[in-house]
Amino acid sequence: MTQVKGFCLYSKFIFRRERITSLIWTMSIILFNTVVAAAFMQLFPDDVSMRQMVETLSMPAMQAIVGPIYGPSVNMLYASEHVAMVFAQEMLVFMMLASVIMNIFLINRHTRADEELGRIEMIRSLPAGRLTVSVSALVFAFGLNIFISVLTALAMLLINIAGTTVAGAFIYSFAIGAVGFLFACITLLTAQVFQNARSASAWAFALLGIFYGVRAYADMSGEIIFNYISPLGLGLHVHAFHANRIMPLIILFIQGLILAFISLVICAKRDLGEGVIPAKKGRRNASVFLKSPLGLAWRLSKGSVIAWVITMLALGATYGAVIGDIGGFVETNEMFNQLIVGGDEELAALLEYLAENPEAAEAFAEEANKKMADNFIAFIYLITALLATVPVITISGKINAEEKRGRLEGIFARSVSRPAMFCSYLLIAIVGGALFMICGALGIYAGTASSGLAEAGDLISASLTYIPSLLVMTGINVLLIGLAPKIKALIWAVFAYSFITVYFGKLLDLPEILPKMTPYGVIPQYTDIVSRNIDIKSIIILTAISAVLTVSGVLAFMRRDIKQ
Amino acid sequence: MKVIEIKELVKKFGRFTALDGVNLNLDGGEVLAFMGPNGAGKTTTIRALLGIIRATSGSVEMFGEDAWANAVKLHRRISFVPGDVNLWSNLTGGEVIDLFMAMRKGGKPDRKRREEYIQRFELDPSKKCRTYSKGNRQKVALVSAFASDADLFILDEPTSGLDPLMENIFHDCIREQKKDGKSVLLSSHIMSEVEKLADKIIIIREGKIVESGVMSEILEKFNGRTLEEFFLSKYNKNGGGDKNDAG
Ligand SMILES: Nc1ncnc2c1ncn2[C@@H]1O[C@H](COP(=O)(O)OP(=O)(O)O)[C@@H](O)[C@H]1O
Ligand SMILES: [Mg+2]
Repeated sequence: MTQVKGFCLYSKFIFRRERITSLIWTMSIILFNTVVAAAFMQLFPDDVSMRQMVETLSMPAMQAIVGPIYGPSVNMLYASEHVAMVFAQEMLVFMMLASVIMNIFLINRHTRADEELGRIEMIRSLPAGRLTVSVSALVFAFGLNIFISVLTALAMLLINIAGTTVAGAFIYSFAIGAVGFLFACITLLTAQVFQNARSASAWAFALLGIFYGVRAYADMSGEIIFNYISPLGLGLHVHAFHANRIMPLIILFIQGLILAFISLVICAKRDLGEGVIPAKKGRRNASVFLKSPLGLAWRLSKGSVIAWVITMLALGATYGAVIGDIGGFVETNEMFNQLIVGGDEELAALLEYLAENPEAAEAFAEEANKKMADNFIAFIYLITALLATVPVITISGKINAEEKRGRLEGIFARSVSRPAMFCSYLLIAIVGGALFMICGALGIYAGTASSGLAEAGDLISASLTYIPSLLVMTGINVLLIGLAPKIKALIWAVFAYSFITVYFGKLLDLPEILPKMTPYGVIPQYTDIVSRNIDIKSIIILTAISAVLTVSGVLAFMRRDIKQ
Repeated sequence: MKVIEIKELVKKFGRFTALDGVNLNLDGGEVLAFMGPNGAGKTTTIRALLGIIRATSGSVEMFGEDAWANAVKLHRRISFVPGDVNLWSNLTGGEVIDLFMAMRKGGKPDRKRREEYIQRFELDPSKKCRTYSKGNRQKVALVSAFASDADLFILDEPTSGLDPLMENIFHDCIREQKKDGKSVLLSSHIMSEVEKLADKIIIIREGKIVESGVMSEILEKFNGRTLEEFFLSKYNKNGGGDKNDAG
């Protein structure tokens, strides 16, 4: 008992610290789930649209992404009363991911991060047990997961989409909580193993990625056994609103308890500040490279560059793998149809002709398929470019982050000029941005290798045409940092606007002018590149705009005060 | 009774020996200055005392009980102030003080003492910790340490962020505690502070104790030399531990 002395007080304290962060997470998760569920109601007015959706979901590539399909053995048996089930099939994995991310951050924040900062040392010098902090954090996570699960279930019951059952709503929601809690326990373990908070959370996320991959493989190949290895696979195995199995939840909970027990045993025995894996001895001298501003900027950005390279490769490959099935998607899924055929009159006419004259299929099917693939790849590129913008913004803005932490003074107190430091970050951001785009292209190429629907040259050129878009976003960011660092978050508003108009523009049938007002909308698309119909003018104009923005931003930065 | 008794304490971090047979005693009602160059092992010794790291060998006792095994029980009687205080950025200083005091007592903290020390250290407890300077964060730790009724104060370079005025107030606080019969282990680099406060001195270098004794005797023994010169001779690799150095 002395091991957890002070548990009640410290739990109250965690509650106090978490009241905002955890509340926002809770609200977002519940709201997201509820909004999508409500949208699902409208999505399937009749049995036909329902069956089309199920057909899409049954494709191996789709199962790899969202998880197994279950329910009536024949698609024709799906009816509008199955909305809740189809919703669970499509959404549960994403809800579990959100919950897992919340839990990883939560536990890491209260355990290894606090320990690294010396806060836990203060607590442990009081009459508090060795396990007080860990147990309080874990109990809080447990309570929070239950809270979220119950509220999610109640919200599901409240909006009551067709086919909702009490058992289904609770099984679905508790699968979210159970997988989340398991990852809370996994993070508690990585927090014991690694000496710093970054490694602890990075490894928890790496495990999440691996487990996602394992279950994707299991669901795609049908080798169910791999699903039992992955907590995500296990969580999806509840088959909510159908079989409503409770066993997977019990297994997940027991696994969590075992991991928590191991973590606590380690925690009770180890020295404060140590991990099971001792920190590597650092270099005695800085390498020649590190001693330059560029070297420093690289060292501080390396981690995120590598992480994004991997992400983009994976993302490209995932999308690429789906491209082969494109015809099926377009046929069965209204949303895809809108996305790929919408606005392309030539393709629409071709498809119509094919539908009316099945005997022409031989001759034109391939052409139609290629066209659809091209349109889809063009869309993927937009997403890739938008995603690549995130690290480009954070890396080009790193100088401001460093400034806020008071680490920039120390640099500028030495003979380093402001533009040299700033431009070092910009160089990494831009070269990084190009690299991320190319990785996306390579991923797509790898994914389409079997179907042969795209050529490497076209893919690479298309990825590079988005560099001016990234440059403009960088330019806006630089200008904000130089002129008005207080409102620098505005860059995310620009980003959000671009994302929404570009991503949802076609789906929601927004006026074409809206996406055209973003740096992404005016660039030659993949389809233009394939048809060699490249409008070089927009590239030149965007590059010029970005140059003006960047130069003015850096000049402003040279003249303003450095915050301390 | 001995308040602190450390015998032949060895602490290894992997292959590196941070403490190599440390002996340290503190009797009730005394102020013991714990000195030594950076990286000598002061903080490591203190962390072993707090039972947050485990001795590789040797024994570490407070109030006659093992510091690791009985950590929770012993911590009721001690107050600790680290040299580098890190607090929760979105909580106020007052909230953190309350947490520390509540966790010590388990009951209601002594509001009067709390207010008294907040006044003395001129701390604004309504500000978020993120806005505090290093000195102000230190004050939060000092207020919660002094406002609680401890028998032993373990202070690891507690004045490293304070201005001279606050340093003086800190010295007053230490003297008052000593008058009340409390004991203090004070790790410090500041000669004047040590000279003013300490009854005894112990010096560590590279994980070994190289000198210990009563303050007045040492001053007498090194008659004619300043305390600072004496320390420098002990800190220095070549001069340290060399008794002839006493001259
Ligand atoms: N967790 C640790 N792992 C490895 N070495 C450590 C660790 N903690 C302290 N040391 C090393 O032990 C030595 C003593 O450190 P410390 O006790 O902090 O010295 P100081 O006397 O300055 O307080 C230093 O060389 C330090 O690098
Ligand atoms: Mg120290």
